[in-house]
Amino acid sequence: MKPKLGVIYHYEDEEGLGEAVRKKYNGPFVIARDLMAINIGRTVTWEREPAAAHAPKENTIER
Amino acid sequence: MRVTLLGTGTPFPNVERFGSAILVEAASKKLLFDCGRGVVIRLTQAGVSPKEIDGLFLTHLHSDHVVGIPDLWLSGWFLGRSKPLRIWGPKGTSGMAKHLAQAFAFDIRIRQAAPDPLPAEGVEIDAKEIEQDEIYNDGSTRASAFLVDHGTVNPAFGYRVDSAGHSVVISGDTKFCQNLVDFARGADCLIHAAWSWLEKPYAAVEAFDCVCRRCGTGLRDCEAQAWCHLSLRR
Repeated sequence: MKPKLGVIYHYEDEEGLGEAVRKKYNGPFVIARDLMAINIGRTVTWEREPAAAHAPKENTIER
Repeated sequence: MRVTLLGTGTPFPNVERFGSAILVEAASKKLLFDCGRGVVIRLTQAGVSPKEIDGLFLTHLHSDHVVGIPDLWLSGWFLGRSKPLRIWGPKGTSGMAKHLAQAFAFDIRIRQAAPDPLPAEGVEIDAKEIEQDEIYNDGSTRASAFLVDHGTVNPAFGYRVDSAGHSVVISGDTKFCQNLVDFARGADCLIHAAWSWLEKPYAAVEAFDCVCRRCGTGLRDCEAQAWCHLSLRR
């Protein structure tokens, strides 16, 4: 079972980071920024825009 | 379950991205994973007082993951915590807690004196050194520590939190680690660190290849995805 959302943190610079991940991974993920909050339930949604989103714009991912 | 990325940065000072710290709020509990630079400021911005933290879980003892502990501990006490700060972490955690008390002995003594003494119990630290296991269970929420591969930093842990049928996994600092993949299986959300002190750029791409080789399939077919360290240092 794949995660509904992957979140990347503890990075130095987001430039090129998302593209590097996307080359090898096709699931939904975001590159987090400080104070971004993720609500985990039947769906996973986030508050405060991430540094970069490689996930549906509607911010809702259902498995 | 609500997860707040309080700090997404690295050891390098960055005014926009503070040190590693993740707040997990589940079933009325507030659990903090790592305690990097600026954690109390970020908690305050998130509307959470440091006194409200029910437990601190350390992935490892690198300074960028623990340097915020004195602030969390003492500010939480100053702001009204009347019970010990509970900390779970790898071997060395108890010694660090003991020495923190020595380092701040003057402040602790002054604040416990008249005319307005703070409660003695609130400045205690209840530190537990952990092994891979379920280490926290309050009946509603469980936290399990699992070993990851952070090179010479051994032991280093990741954590899985389960509550009300949902789960989040925090990788801690690690390169590719099958144990992480195993513990991340079925998780709703995987939060993965992406930095390491490597000279070679985009090392994570190699790590992804490693995942694929180990699984014998493409990464997209794996049951759990694990991002390994991504180094953008050039």
